[in-house]
Amino acid sequence: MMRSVLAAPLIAILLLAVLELVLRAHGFATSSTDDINLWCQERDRVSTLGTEGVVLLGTSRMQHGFSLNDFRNRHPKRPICQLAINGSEPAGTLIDIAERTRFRGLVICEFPYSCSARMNDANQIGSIWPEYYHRDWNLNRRVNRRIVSSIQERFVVATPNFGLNGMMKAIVSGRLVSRSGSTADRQIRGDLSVHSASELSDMERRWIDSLHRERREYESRGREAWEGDARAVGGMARKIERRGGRVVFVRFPLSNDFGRESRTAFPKEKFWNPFLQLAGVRGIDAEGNPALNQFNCPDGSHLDFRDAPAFTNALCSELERLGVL
Amino acid sequence: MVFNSYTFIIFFALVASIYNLPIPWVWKKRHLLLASYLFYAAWNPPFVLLLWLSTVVDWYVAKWMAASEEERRRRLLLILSLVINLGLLAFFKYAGFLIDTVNFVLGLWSLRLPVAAPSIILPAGISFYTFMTLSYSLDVFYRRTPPCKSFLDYALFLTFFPHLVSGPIVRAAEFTPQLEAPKQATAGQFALGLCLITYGLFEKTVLADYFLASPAEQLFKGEAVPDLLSAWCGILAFAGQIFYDFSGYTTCAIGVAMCFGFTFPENFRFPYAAAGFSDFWQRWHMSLSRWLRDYLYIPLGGNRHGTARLYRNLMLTMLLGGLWHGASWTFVIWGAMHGLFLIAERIVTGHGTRKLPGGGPGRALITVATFVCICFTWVFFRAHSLPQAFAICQGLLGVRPSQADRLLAMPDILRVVLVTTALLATHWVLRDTTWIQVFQRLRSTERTLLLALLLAMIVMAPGIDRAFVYFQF
Repeated sequence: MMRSVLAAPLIAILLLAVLELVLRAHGFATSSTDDINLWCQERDRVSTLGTEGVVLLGTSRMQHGFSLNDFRNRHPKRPICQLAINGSEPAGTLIDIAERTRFRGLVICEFPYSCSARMNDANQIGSIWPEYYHRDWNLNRRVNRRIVSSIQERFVVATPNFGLNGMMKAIVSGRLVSRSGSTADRQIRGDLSVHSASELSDMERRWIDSLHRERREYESRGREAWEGDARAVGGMARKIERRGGRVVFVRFPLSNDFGRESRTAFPKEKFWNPFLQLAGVRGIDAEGNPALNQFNCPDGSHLDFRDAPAFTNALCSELERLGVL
Repeated sequence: MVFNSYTFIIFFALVASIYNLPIPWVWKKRHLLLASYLFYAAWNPPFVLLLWLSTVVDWYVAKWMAASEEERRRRLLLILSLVINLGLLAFFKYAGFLIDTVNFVLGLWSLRLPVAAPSIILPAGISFYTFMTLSYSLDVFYRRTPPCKSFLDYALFLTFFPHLVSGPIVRAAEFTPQLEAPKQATAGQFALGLCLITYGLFEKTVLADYFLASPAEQLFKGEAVPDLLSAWCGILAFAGQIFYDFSGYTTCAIGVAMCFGFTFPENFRFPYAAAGFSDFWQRWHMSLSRWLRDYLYIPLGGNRHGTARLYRNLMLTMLLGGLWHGASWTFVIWGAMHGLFLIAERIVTGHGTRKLPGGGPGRALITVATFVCICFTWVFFRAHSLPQAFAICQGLLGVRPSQADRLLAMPDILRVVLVTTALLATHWVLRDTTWIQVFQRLRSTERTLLLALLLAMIVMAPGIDRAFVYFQF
């Protein structure tokens, strides 16, 4: 029994070493698991950012479409922190930054088309993650995440870029294809060109289903609740601004059927414009802005990583024009 | 600290290294006790005081009960132990639930309590160590076991880090005798312990977190009615996730204990091969079901006072079992469903006069039927609200198909089907054995290759860090 236990790790290391070489030869790069602990690691940085700092809030669109490296090249003196959360709304994180930090820099908040905030929904990931940060993010977890990050920055086999799912897909398709991955600073390097047309169509159909659910939820909650949430969002933004910070809300471009359905379900004149007015905040909307709207989202919702630099620069130009950057 | 973390690997290596030094036995026990408190403090240091309080209270209560012959005094001491331990559990776990429930009832008359439901951090493992310390007090009271002679032994029994946070719920009579003489794992035991840890980590990291957690989460995200395929794949994913998550933890716990030379009781025996609900509860979370049987069901009268009392006792036991899991009506309904299924089984089998098929297609059919019923109970176990649970049940039954949403993508569906088919097949084939026996029976080469494959897969499944599901209990 002891012989097996001693030999097994050596064999496992050998297998993984071979796989590591093969993956690197096929162009795979390391990536980081974008989980709650990586988010907390970034959240730790907020208190160090200062007035020149920039915090990004939002959804996976922000993680896909905003290139942190290109921002750093354009504004090297502005430290930036990615706190957008995949699959969530930014309301919970906005409340966290407003009420539980003294941050006085710039907050760029990517907002969903519905402009709905659900300010008091404790079941939203955007609320759960900050709550975890304040309650459960302790020394043990910090140390463990540092070790995980360190390993993932060095070894492709230990990263989500390939993983067991990638192995299964490679066996089935007979090809080794590098897919999307997150960087250590939580940017999603979304290479949407590796997905087949049917995969992209499947993704788009799920976004549309989700959109219809959002619309039904809006109808069941009622306009009054939506307006109340919009004012509450404004309250959070003013809290940050009163201490010297700046807050800008941004709507990213959408494409194809998902874009059309979004504009039909949540027309600008009934949602985005009233939201800005009720919340009393500044906003930049890709819709109707040629510089921001020229990019295609292959799955209807997310920019491909190749477009992120150009989009980021275009967005920075808009933010500079607004005088917040 | 969790088993599937690098910090635990470092912790375990340090603790095991010091433990295996040639130091006196009492110092080894002190070392394990200190390590256990450090392990617990890694969650939330102040809650170590709570654990300490439970330890001290029941140490003295048991000591005084055993020393007294006066029945009234012994009963009062037992009540003291119950009030303190259950009081702490009630405060930390159920205060919010009780206030919300009272407010709901009062709300029917437009009334409300003058206090809001408090937001209280639940100490990790409180349900588990409370049941352990209660079992000790009750066993001493009923003179089933003598009180521990050594405070160190008693504290280590309650606090030993492998079982501290999520069981198995160990009895004093099972563990304290192991502390009387020096314990050291043999090379074979240590190796087998490492095999179990590896397999447990594989269950948790690869099967539960990497393959099954995400599809399960998709199903339980909102209150939309899922389509038939999404509903069934989602609930199968959760059935697999909760099993692999909890079984993975316990397998690791048993393995870690074995590395120090200690034996823990088995907690899972391929429960999805169960034929009927009685069989299920003899295979699922066995330490909890034994606890409920010995300290609730039997004292209530068991099956000794007629059919009506039997049904009442079964239902009460399962209701309280449900409530033990969580402070929510969904858990109560989960417990009630299990109670109803147990009662129904008694009726169908004529209270034991008709036996269920022991093998063949008959047994397979009952196993499948049992599993399907269990899946329905899991809906209430996992749902965060009753409306969500009902919506998912509608999806499982194919009600309102035109309004149902496809929640899962085809790759997720295929993955779930693959993994849960393997899960059910494994349970069926291995239903009368244990993983310890499987590892022992394998040839050396087979075992080596299996372990190597499991280790490689663990490394290649760097999924999102998810807490063990049972940590919330």
